[in-house]
Parts: sequence; C-alpha cells; structure tokens
Amino acid sequence: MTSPVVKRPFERLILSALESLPVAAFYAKTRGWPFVIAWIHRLTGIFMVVYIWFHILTLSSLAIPSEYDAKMKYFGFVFISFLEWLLAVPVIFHALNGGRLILYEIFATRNDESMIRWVFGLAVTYVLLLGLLMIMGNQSVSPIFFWLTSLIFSVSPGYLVASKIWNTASSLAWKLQRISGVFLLIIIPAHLLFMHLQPAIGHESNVVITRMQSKFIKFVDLTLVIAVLYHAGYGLMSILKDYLKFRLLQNGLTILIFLMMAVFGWIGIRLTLTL
Amino acid sequence: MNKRLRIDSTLECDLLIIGSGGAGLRCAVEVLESRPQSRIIAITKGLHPQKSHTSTAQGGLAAVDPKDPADKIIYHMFDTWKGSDCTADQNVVRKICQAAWEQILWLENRGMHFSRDQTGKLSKRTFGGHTLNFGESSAYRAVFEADRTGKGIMDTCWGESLKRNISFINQAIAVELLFKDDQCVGCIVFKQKEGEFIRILSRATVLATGGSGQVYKVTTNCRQNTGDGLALILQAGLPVMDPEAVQFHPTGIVGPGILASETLRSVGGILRNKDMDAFMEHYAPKMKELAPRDLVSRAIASEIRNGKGILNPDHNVEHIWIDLRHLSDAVHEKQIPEVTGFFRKYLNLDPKEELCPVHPSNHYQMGGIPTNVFGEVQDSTQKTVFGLYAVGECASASFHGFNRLGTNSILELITMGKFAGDRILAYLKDTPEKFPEAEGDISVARFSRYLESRGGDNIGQIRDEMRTLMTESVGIFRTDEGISKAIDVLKILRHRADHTALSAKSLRMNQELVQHWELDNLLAVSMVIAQAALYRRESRGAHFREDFPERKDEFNYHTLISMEQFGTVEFGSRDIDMSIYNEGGQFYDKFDVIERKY
Amino acid sequence: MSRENPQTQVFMINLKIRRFDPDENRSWIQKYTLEASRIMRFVDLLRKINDEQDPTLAWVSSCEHGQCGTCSMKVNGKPLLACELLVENAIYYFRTDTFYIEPLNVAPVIRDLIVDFTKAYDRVDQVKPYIIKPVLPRSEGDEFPITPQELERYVNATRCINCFCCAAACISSHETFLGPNAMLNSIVRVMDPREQEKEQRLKILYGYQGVCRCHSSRACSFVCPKEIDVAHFIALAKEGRITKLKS
Ligand SMILES: Cc1cc2nc3c(=O)[nH]c(=O)nc-3n(C[C@H](O)[C@H](O)[C@H](O)COP(=O)(O)OP(=O)(O)OC[C@H]3O[C@@H](n4cnc5c(N)ncnc54)[C@H](O)[C@@H]3O)c2cc1C
Ligand code: HEM
Ligand code: HEM
Ligand code: SF4
Ligand code: F3S
Ligand code: FES
Repeated sequence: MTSPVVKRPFERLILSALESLPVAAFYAKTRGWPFVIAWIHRLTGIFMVVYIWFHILTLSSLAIPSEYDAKMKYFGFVFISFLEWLLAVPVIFHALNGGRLILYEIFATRNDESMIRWVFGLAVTYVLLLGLLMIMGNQSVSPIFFWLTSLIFSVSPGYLVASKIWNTASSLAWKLQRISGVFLLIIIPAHLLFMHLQPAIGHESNVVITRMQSKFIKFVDLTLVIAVLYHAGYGLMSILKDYLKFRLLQNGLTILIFLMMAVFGWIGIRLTLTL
Repeated sequence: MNKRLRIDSTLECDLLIIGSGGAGLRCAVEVLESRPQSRIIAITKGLHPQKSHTSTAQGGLAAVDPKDPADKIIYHMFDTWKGSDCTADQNVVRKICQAAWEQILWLENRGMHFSRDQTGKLSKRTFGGHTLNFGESSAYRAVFEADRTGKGIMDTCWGESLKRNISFINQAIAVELLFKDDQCVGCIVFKQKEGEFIRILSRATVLATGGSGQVYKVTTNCRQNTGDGLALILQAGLPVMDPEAVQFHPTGIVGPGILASETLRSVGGILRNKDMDAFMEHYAPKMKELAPRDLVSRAIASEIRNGKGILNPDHNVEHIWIDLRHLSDAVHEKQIPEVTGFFRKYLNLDPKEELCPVHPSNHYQMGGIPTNVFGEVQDSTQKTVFGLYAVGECASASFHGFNRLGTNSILELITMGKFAGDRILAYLKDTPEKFPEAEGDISVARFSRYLESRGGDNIGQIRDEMRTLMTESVGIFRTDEGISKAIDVLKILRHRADHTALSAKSLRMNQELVQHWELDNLLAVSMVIAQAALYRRESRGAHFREDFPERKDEFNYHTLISMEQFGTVEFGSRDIDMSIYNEGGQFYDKFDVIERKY
Repeated sequence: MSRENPQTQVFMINLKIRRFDPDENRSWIQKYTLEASRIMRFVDLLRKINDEQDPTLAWVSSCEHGQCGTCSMKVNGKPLLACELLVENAIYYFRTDTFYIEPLNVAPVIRDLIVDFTKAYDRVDQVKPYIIKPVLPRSEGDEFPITPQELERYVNATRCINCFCCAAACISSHETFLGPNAMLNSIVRVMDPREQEKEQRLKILYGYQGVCRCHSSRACSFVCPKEIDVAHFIALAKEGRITKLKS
C-alpha cells in the first residue's frame, strides 16, 4: 500500500522518465518501486563485495610500498579518477538505502515514500560534493580527528540498533547484519570522503603507511574490515538462499562464502597489524 | 465402458466429510475434540477448504447473549419462526437458538476475531427481522467480525481441524454415495488433480456441500455451489425437502450479482427508485429497509416491473438504487468498507458520492436434504438413513422454513455441525469398526458416458440457458404456465447435454468433464425446484406464486420430492414441527400459524 | 423509462495465455481475441473463452468477488485476483489491450492456469494458523475481553485470504521463505492476546525460513488485493515490537 503523497511537478517529470525505463518500469508496475529498489540494493551489494575483494588485494601490496605506488599511479588518469568518483554512486546508494531499510524495519518509520526521496536526494548531494572535493584537491584534516568523529557517529547508531533488537527472537547472525550495516552507514561514506580530501591520502604508500602506523587508525581499519566482511558475507549468503533450492548446496556455498571472507579478512587484518 | 475409468484405490476412515465448508469442518472438529484418535477425511471441490463459500458470508451471526438485559432467546425463536413464514420446525428452532451463544463462545475461545465494543466484549448489531418483544423494536443480536464473519468461522473451523490432524483431500468431488443394507458406507470420489476415482469407506458420512445458487443466472453464490449434495441424494433415491424455497437477496450488485450485505441497510442505507422515492415505506411501513429479504426482494422486483427501475447500460439490467451518500465517513470506513469496496471495484463508482445500483440476486436455498434435529438424514418415510448426516446449507432440518433471516445461516452451520458431531460420536462408539464392501458403479458409468458422447453442443451454453430459464420462470415471481414451460425446456436441455462431446478427453484437471457432471446436477436440482414450485399452489415465504398470492393452511407441510429418473418425480410430505405451540408454555400463542406482516 | 439499449463501450481484447498440458508435459502460449464490455471482469473473459472459443482452457475461481483467493494469476506480470480486475481498469493500468496471463509461480502448475494450492498451503500450515493453546476466559461462559484498540493493532493482518499474490511477488524464494502470507498468519497469533503458546510460535516466526528471509522489498504490500500492509507487520516482527523474548 503506497500512501498517496502529493507529487511536485519535477518529481512527476522524473517519475515519468523512470516509467519509460525498460525492466525497472515493468517491475515498478507489477511489484512497486520499493521492489525495484530492493534489486538495486542487491546489485550494489554484490558489486561492493567484488570491489572489497579487489580493494583488499590492492591494499595488501602496501607491504611492498613500491608495488602499491606502481598500481596507484593509474589513479592519476582522469578517466580512472572519474571511475573512482562513480564508485561513490553504488556505495552511497547502498549505504543510504540500507539506512532506510533499518529505519523501516527497526524504527517503525512507515513514511517510506518520503524516506526513498531522502535516499535519492542525499545520495545526489553526497556524490556531487565528493566530485567537488576531488576537483578541489588539497584539503587537509587531522586523520585522528576525522576518524574519531566518524567512529563516534558510527558506533552510536550501531549501539542504538543493537539495544533495540538485541532482545528480539531473531537470529544473532541477522541481528549482526543490521548492526554492522548501521555501523557502516556513516563510516563507509566517511572513508570514501576521507580518501578524496587529497589525492595523496589514498594513493601514496608512504602517506598511507605513516597514517596506519597509528594504533588508533589500525583499530578503526580493523573494525571496518571485520564489519564489512561480515556484512558482505551474510548478504551474499542471504542472496544465495533465494536462488538455491537444495539445502545441501546452500550449506556448501555458505561455508565457501565464509571461507572466502575469512581469507580476505586474514589478508586485511594481517596487513593492518603488520604495517 | 471406457477402459481408463476404474476405481483405483480404497481408503478407510471413521468419518468422511463431503464438503469442507464451515458446517462440515465444525462437525469434524466436534468429533476430534472428544475423540482425537478418529480418522477423518474431509474433501472439498475447491482448491482448499478455506476457499469454501462460508468464507464469503459478511454480515454476522445471530445469537442471544444470556447477559443481554433486553434480548431473550424466545424472541430469537419467534423471529425465526415468523421469518420462516411459519414453516420452520419448532424443535429445531428451539434447539439452535438455545445453543447459539455457547457456539459463539466456542468460536471466540478458538481464536475467531470478533469485532469488540469498548469494554472488550463482543459487539452486536441489528439485522433485518431481529426484534425484541415479539416484533416491537429492533434487537441488537448479531455478533460479527467486521464484514467478514463467514471468513472468521471458516478460518477457525479450518484451523482447528488442521490442528487436530484431519486429512484433507482438495479438488476432489464426491460423485456417488455408497450404501450397503440401507446404511451409508462412504462414497466414490473423483480426484480432479490426478483424474482418478477412489473409494472412501467410512463408518459415518456427512454431506456438507453447501448451496445450489448456480441454478440461477444472477447469484451471490460461488462457482462451486452447483447443488451436488442434493443431486447425490436424488441419485441415491432419497428425497429432497422444500427445494422450491429459494431465497433472493434484495441487494445484489448489478452485473455479477455480488452480495451487497444487509449491513448496508442496517447502518441506514436507503432503497430508492427512478424517481428517488424511498419506496420501502409503501411495502413495509414499520420495518422499511429492514423487512425480511423476500419482502424487500419482491418490493424491488415490483418497482422494476412497474417501470420504476433504472437500466444499467453496461449489463443491460434494470435495477434500483441503494443510497449510502448520507452515511458518515466513520460508518463508511469502519462498518461497511468491504461491501462499499465492491461498488468501487466492480462498477468503478464511489458510494460516498454516488448512488449504487442493486437488484435482487439468488442467495440461499432454505430447503435441502431432510434431516432431523441431529442432522441425521431421513428417507421419504422419515426413517433415518444409518451412517449418513447432512449439515449446512445443503441440509434442511428446517431451521429456516420458507424464508431465512439474515445471520441465521452461519449460526445453523456451527450449531447443526456440532449436533451432528455429537451424534456421530455416539454412533462411532456404539457401532463396530468394520467396513462393508460396496461397489459403486453409477459414477464410473456416468463419466464414461460423458467421455464417449458425441455432438456439437457446448456445456457452458446449455448451463447459461438453464440459468436464464430458471431466473425468468422459477425465480422471484412464479406462475403455473411459466413453471410448466420451464419443466419442458429443462428436459430438452438435459437431452442436449447428453449429446455434447467433450473437447478434450483427458481425465486430469479436465474442467469441462467436471462441468458436464455439474450441469447434470444443476439440471436435476432445477427440475425438483420447478416441480415442487408447480406443486405448491400457494405463496409462502420466498416461494411466491403470482397465480396463488396467499399462504394456504392446506399447504402447511414440508414438500418431500424424490426423482430417480430425470423428470419423473414423486412427492411426499413432512409435518411441520409445532412443539413449542403444542406444549402450550408461556408465549405459546406466538408460535401459532400467524400472519407475517412487517 | 427508456427501454432501448444505451450505448456502452466495447473493447477488442487480446489474451495471451500460458498453457500447460500435464498429459504431454507441454507448455505453450495461446492467443485469444475477444470482445469485452467496459466492466467485465477477467474471470468473465476466461468464461467467455470457455463458452465461445475453447472449452479446454483450464482456470479456477470460486467466490468471484475477491473474498476467497482462488482466482489469483499473473496478468502482464502482476499477481492479482482475476475476479477483481475489470477490463476498463486493466487497459488503463497497463496501457494496452493485450494481456499476458500466466499462473502464479508459488507451486507446481496442474494444468494451464491452475496451481497446486495444496502444496503452496503447506507453507502456511507450517506456521500453525490457529491458536495452539488458548487462554481460558476468566469465567465459564465468557468471552476473553479484547479492547478495540488492542484488536486494531493486528486486525488488518487477520484479513488475509491466502491468495498467494504476495508470495508470487516477493523477491525472496518459496524454497527458503515460508512467504509473506504465512508470516502474516503467524504474526496474527503472536499478537493475539488469547494465544498462550509463544515459544513454539517464535521459533517458527524467527526461524531460518521466517522473517529473516524478508528483504523488505514491500512487493507484498504493493500487490495485496486486500490492501493489507504485509511488510508493515513483518517489520513489526523484526523490530520485536509484537513480542520480546526476554522482557
Ligand atoms: C455472499 C454471501 C453472504 C452471506 N452472508 C451471510 C451472513 O451474513 N450470515 C449468514 O448467516 N449467512 C450468510 N450467507 C449464507 C452462508 O454463507 C452459507 O449458507 C453458508 O456459508 C454455507 O456453508 P456450508 O458449510 O453449508 O457450505 P459451503 O461453505 O458452501 O461449503 C461447501 C463445501 O462443499 C464442497 N463441495 C461442494 N460440492 C462438493 C462435491 N460434490 N464434492 C466434494 N466437495 C463438494 C465445496 O467445495 C465446499 O468446500 C451468505 C451467503 C452468501 C452467498
Ligand atoms: C554502507 C553502509 C551499509 C549499510 C547501511 C548496509 C545495509 C544493508 C542492509 C540493511 C542490508 C539488508 C538488506 C536485506 O534485507 O536483504 C544489506 C544487505 C547487503 N549488503 Fe549492505 N550495507 C552497507 C554496506 C555494505 C557493504 C560495504 C557491502 C559489501 C561489501 C554490502 C553488501 C551487502 C550485500 C551483499 C547485501 C545483501 C543484499 C540482499 O540480500 O539483497 N553492504 N545491507
Ligand atoms: C576509491 C576509493 C577508495 C580509496 C582510495 C580507498 C583507500 C583505502 C586505503 C588507503 C585504505 C588503507 C587504510 C587507511 O588508510 O585507513 C583503505 C582501507 C579500507 N577500505 Fe578503502 N578506499 C576506497 C573505497 C573503499 C570502499 C568503497 C570500501 C567499502 C566498500 C572500502 C573499504 C575499505 C576497508 C574495509 C578498508 C580496511 C582494510 C584493512 O584494514 O585491511 N574502501 N581504503
Ligand atoms: S497477504 Fe494479501 S496478497 Fe498475501 S495472501 Fe494474504 S490477501 Fe493475498
Ligand atoms: S515482498 Fe517479500 S521481501 Fe519482504 S516485504 Fe514482502 S515479504
Ligand atoms: S474467485 Fe474468490 S477471490 Fe477471485
């Protein structure tokens, strides 16, 4: 049931444009827009899983700084930078939409249609802002200050969600998915933002390594990698269960996903701890 | 005989329920609650028991709350008696009315979601024909679950039987009752999904197949209501009682005939004709819109016949209006949302702003398989047939006589279901656990005939012609001439049906095959309705003969009619039970054969 | 009164129906073209095909006014009740006069548009759609008091007719998820103050085939012909508002 919300002219324009999309419009008509959004959420989730594997492998070459720098030199190219900027689209969409889902499911926010508008509005704002920062280049900020703030802003909603659902009868695994999700809600967009305050912050091995020598930054990275890998692993498993008929196959693949995530987790954690 | 057709296997059980509607399952649960080890099989023609017709009952069920300061059981008994046009059996009326509240609590305690009043108790509302003090003022007697009371009963009875491990066989039709030494020992069932016949041997069998609304063109009944139960009984050589007593609901929605519940009138909806005249005050000055159904139906039909109807362009049907525009938003939203939703959905109009077109629609069969007060089926000499029970709309213990009051039917389901269950419990205890073999060959032969017959006719068309015929000639207004003609045409239709080839000869889920069988049932039921209507040369309750518009004392009995050969009927009669009157207790005079004026 | 037949609009409708013959295990799409008036329902169209063109086309309905949930099927991809869809509204909604009709994919097809609901219902049966252990009323011969406010919290969930439209629309699968309607049936009894047996219920509701399989895609609420906000109730369960395990 969609509550009737008055549509402004420009929204009607956008909607009629959306309604001419081939596949999405079909599903919007037969299952509703939230269903289409659930699909986008799923696709962006899968995309990020692949990205995170790639990302951790790239980062693992920080152990040999010259190798890292060699890889990173591509990021100077305008086109690659453009891709890097585009990366923010799925990331921020998934993050904000995940936030919306959590609001819907755990905080009884039933004005979903306006929440969807907020998701799109904020996503566009964020992506434009990020682009602006990337063009401007040289902002400087204290990493400790930045990460301390981000962490506080991430842990508190995480705590809030945890305290709300902890005593429900839902499975622990499911609860952790929501808690990790809301924890990532701030910290992932912040991570992306931070890495583009200055080109060097994310791309030059010596800058990265220096920063990561801080115990505090190490700690932040550890929570980040664990939360992301847990969340992504559960997400993948949850998707698989929608498509695999046989219990045995489901269990087999669940174990496989768990192992994959453990391997990447091990790579990521070892890197953080040894740098 | 067709080689593919044979009875594949045999199942045995203690109790076989034919028809998993509210009545059938209430009976099953009664047995299971006292005797949990009973093996019960319940079959339904539909996709699932929950899809039975009981689910669609809207308004409510009547029951006098013993804690109610104003209402009394005797008033409910009186209303039912008067409503029935003095043709109900008083022993049945008494038994059901007395058991009513207990059965409401039975449902409530098992999770039915009745609507509540502010104190958390069951809400009650008034309905057509419900009065205090023998007709003085309206009684608030119907408990309800918003406008889906039947669904509540269905869900509760289905849920309780599921909980108690009943075996359901869905999409299966009972095609032949099995008898051994005058005792019913089970039935032959055709499983539509598999295209197989099975034999179910049972120690007790309950017929609860519901109504026969599909006999008429415009009906509120569901598609499965093809009078199979009556046809099965006729096929077995047993009689049917009062088939001519067919109720037409005054307010069917123009077009599909969907029921616009009594509730619309009880919350204040007003019937208006072409000139916007609220005409009910001319027909029933006291009760007006809330007069009994047959009166209101005839009033509407008369208005239309007198040129006061409005023609609907889309369905080419003449109708009158029901006016709901003056009702408050609260009433629209809380009390009648589902019903007014029908107008929105099926006619694309808004009842808050626009007038709604309605006309009478076939609704209920008061007659049926004759039973005693315990639901035991009787033969033409009123001897009980061992092992065979009938409850619900297909049965007639005669709680409704010749006209049913709104809300009395689903009350009958749960009370008669319980009574029959109690009887069956005693029967199961007393009789030895053995299953006499019985063959059963009529149905296989019948199906073979369908598969082998040749000819270019179409089952659907014959059915439509039959339904139009019955509506026009044996409907709200009946005459000797019209009925006689209808009887002749029914014979022709039956002949045509016999010469109709099936397009596909498959047995699995061949709906044309099943529809052919159903058509034969419909024709048989139509025939007994017409014959009984012709025979009863008077008007009584819902049976209205234009050529004999008065009720006559010489017809103070129930019609019994049997038909072993299509078209050849035999009549009998059963006395109306007047025990309340005869006992001469307080108010006994109210239960005399009285005039029915509202 | 004017007795001549007033004009009403007539449409030419194309129905492309997915058919299945179990005898030959063959599936194909068959096209029918027919005339239809403005407020005919889709069940009327199918009946018209049976009566005038092809008696072998198998489909099923019962109440034919949206009360029983028998006639559910997909029209142009949307799971709905064929007895509730008027020709005029369908043309307006889908902006076409060609309709692709197929059975719901919630259980194996028996023939043409008829699905084996007995199998689909198995998932509903698993949540025990009845009161397992009712509290006894305070005194014999009494109803258990429930205030209208209390009832209001879950009364909408009791309106489900198990048509399985929501299950057909859901992003999650029938193999690992009992389905939105099964959840609803379960949630009703968790919220019902008369149910004493909570432990068993919660185990099913929050089990591996329970609410955790829902991705809040809200297609259930979108298609539900009874306009029940199914997703709302599932979310209530996730939030734990309908009950807490430990207080
Ligand atoms: C729209 C509408 C509204 C109504 N509202 C009210 C109301 O408010 N109050 C009231 O008191 N009454 C009401 N009634 C009447 C009441 O609903 C019915 O009389 C009652 O539900 C009949 O119940 P039943 O159990 O006898 O049969 P049903 O519920 O019709 O069940 C019959 C069962 O038998 C099965 N069956 C049929 N033939 C066969 C066969 N050959 N083999 C196997 N199975 C078979 C069917 O599949 C079904 O499962 C209403 C009726 C209608 C049409
Ligand atoms: C940034 C903040 C994030 C938030 C708020 C968030 C939130 C969520 C939520 C609430 C879900 C559950 C949706 C459902 O019910 O299925 C989910 C699913 C998922 N998430 Fe995230 N997530 C975030 C980041 C990530 C990241 C970084 C990844 C991958 C590396 C990821 C991958 C997935 C996947 C694969 C799913 C499963 C999708 C599905 O089942 O359809 N998420 N996310
Ligand atoms: C193009 C944009 C990105 C850049 C340049 C970038 C860069 C980096 C760098 C330099 C680190 C090292 C740790 C640190 O300096 O604090 C890091 C860590 C990390 N990043 Fe990114 N990142 C980007 C996007 C992302 C995205 C989109 C995600 C999530 C989906 C992500 C997830 C992580 C995680 C989990 C770690 C911790 C790894 C570990 O501790 O082993 N990053 N990133
Ligand atoms: S929730 Fe709605 S769509 Fe789903 S089965 Fe129930 S009535 Fe049908
Ligand atoms: S469609 Fe399915 S995913 Fe959840 S919100 Fe409804 S159950
Ligand atoms: S036939 Fe009952 S819902 Fe359509």
